[in-house]
Amino acid sequence: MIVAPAPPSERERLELLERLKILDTPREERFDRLTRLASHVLDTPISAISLVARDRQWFKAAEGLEVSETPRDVAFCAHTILGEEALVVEDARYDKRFVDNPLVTGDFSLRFYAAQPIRVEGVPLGALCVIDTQPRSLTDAQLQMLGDLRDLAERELLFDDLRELQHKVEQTRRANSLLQHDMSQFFSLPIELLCILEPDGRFKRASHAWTDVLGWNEHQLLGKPITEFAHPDDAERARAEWGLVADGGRTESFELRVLSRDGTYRWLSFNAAGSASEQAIYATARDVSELKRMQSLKSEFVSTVSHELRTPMTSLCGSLDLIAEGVTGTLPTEAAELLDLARRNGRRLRRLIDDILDMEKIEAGKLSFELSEHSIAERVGRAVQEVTQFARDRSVAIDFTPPATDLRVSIDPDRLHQVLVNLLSNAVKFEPEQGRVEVAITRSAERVRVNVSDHGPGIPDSFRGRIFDKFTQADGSDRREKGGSGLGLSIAKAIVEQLGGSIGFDTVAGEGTTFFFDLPIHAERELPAADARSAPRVLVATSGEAAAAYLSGLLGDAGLAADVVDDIAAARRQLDEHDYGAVVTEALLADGDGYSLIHGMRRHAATRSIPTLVVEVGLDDDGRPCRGGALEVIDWLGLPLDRKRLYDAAGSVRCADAARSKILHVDPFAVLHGEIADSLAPFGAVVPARTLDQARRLLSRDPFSLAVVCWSMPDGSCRELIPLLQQHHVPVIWLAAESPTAIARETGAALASASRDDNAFRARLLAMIDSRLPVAVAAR
Amino acid sequence: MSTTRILLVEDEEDIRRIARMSLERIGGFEVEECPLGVHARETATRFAPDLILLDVMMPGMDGPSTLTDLRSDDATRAIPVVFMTAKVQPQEKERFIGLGALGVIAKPFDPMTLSDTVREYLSHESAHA
Repeated sequence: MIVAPAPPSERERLELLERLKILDTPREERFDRLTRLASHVLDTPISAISLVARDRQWFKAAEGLEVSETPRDVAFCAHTILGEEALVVEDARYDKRFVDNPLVTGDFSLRFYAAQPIRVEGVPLGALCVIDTQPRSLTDAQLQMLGDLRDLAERELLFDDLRELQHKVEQTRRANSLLQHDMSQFFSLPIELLCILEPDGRFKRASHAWTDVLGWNEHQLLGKPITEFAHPDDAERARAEWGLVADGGRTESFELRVLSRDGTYRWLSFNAAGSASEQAIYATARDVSELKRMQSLKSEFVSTVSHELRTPMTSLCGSLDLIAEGVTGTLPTEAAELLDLARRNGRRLRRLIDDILDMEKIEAGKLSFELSEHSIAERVGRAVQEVTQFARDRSVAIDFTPPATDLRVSIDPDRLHQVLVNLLSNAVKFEPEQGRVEVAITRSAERVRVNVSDHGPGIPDSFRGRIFDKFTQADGSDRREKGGSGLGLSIAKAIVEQLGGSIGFDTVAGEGTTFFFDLPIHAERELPAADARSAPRVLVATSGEAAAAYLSGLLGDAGLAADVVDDIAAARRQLDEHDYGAVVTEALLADGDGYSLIHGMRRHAATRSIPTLVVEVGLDDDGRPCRGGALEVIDWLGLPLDRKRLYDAAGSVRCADAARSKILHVDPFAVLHGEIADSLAPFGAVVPARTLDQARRLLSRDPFSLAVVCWSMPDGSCRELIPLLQQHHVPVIWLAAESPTAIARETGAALASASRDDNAFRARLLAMIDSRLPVAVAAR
Repeated sequence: MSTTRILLVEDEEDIRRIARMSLERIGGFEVEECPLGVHARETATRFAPDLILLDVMMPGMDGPSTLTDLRSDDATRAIPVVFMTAKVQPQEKERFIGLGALGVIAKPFDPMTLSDTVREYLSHESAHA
């Protein structure tokens, strides 16, 4: 017996049989009738539709057979599938392939076999065969008929597969139609404007809302580019945006004025996403015209109201200021107190109006910034200076030591000032009386951090999450007591964030709160003072041994090395030979006075800009030395005035920002004022005071970088101003017909009774040395 | 040194009064008032001020129009003008400077420092002149 080999297409055959899911299926009439027909037409007792599987042949339909399958090695059909033509075996006993086949030799006694191969998609799967136990032959017509029946069998075999395919097609079609239906439903909804655009922006589909909102029906939009409907002023912006979206991008809240059918424009806010693969832009839009109108109304309202409020405020606050400053004469004490009350509240109202306006600008995205590079320490120092008076009124001190490195930030100085003053005044408000607000500048990597700490009650838990929200304060009573708008922190946050920074706070109930903000460092400079700072030398001129030891100790505590001399001659020698960060002198010395020493120093370029403090050391009740006040003296200038000397003296005062610097000029004569204002214009704005009273008020109210004081005033001696000048850290240039010695004597007396604060003294001396050094280095 | 002259163009009488008091008593300036923009050019021609303080919002001819009017006349063309306004929006400020104003003073102004501010503008002006 010759067992039929597997055909070359065996693998595909088996896969196809698998795919058709035909093997071992129940009998089906559509196949049965084919075998019935074959037996009948060809007059054979047996016929079958045989499918040749891996190890067997399986009969999908059979006539005259009791088995449903046989092993493949005995199967005649396994031979049929090897060829493309019919296989006819008229008598198997005479065919070497089958002569010893058990089907031939056994009880079955097969003699005649004729079959047409069944092929599906060109792959042979089996055969339609007719079988007889008698030898016989077929006519060509009969063989043809067998072929025709085989063709029918092939179609039936594929039928299931086709039906399944058809089913799938039907399903897809139905899903599509559902989708179409859903889309139509969706597109007919009245609220959102939906559209699908071609990548070039032409309308492919538009929802009914386009008709409702703009009056265009879908046909009027289809095929036209959306940019054709944009307001001419928005067209370019629109083209650019849609272009980006078409390339697979997205846009959100993209606002555009779109033409409606009646010729007017509506503001639409678009959300859109483009799909490059689907060649489409999907967009939704909302009509925000009304919202826009409300926003603009609100903005207009706020702007108008603020203008209408500010105009009367100008008259109100202006009148109060003029009266309070004594322009119209002196007021009785009670009236002055009431006037002060009115002024304070007027200012509060102004701040509130300003805050509301700022908030409005922030919300409208209109808060503008003029950026420039500044030293953060210098900006903080300025803000501290501004808040100092407010703190003093509340018996609170502010500690601030500038860092060793000059960290520079890119900021809008006015806006940053607003933030700093807000944080500082908040801290002062919450600091307990006699407490100290601490201000520190730290750095981490590329950012600088400003910390403002108070020792107040801390921020309540419930309030922490809302602290930067608008109109929030810990509670209503707080608002009244502390007198803020509730907008300050919210504004501060917006400003810091616009400057590329971040703001935050740490708080511990009962211990205090630290507010901080970080800004990116723009540049940094090692202060030229770095070496000298570790032990800057200070020249101390004093006549008594006890005073000398006392002052040296005081300076040593601040990390300053002191060289002590006891007369002017020795002081001058030291100044010739060494470089000093500052000079501290007693008013009266063995061979002269402190003023004469200072006056001499100002003549020479090398010593011109060394800061000088005049101090007074006396004895306390127990006979120990103790220091009185300390006054920074720039110079004593005789009369008539030498304008060049005045200019040089004023120039030695460090004022980084002359545009904002103010110089107090205390002088009864208006004529001299014009001259002095002209001479000193490069260093700041000169504010005149014609009486001591006026000078006192100005000193208490405003920060001054310098005071130029005429010693003799009609309403008293300027000695009375010394406590205020030292308290507010205002350096002074005396203009005097009197000798320096006479003034030094008076100064000593005034300082002896002035308030003392060793910490403040040291901090002041350090600040003076810090501020002076760059100038000195440049000069030498 | 002859006294510096300031012309104040402002429709609000109260504000004129305060500004005048501040400029005269603190700054030592000589001050002339003009309540209407439409009369500013005429007053300026007669008074020949060193600087004009010009309100922005006025009935009839507003500040910017008044400035244009002043610039149209040879007699008043070169007089420096500083605007006073309660609405200081940065873009407005730029617009005013663009129109040829020297600067903008925000209302409410501080009567104690108004003269200093004016003096600063004058010194800038003379420095640039």
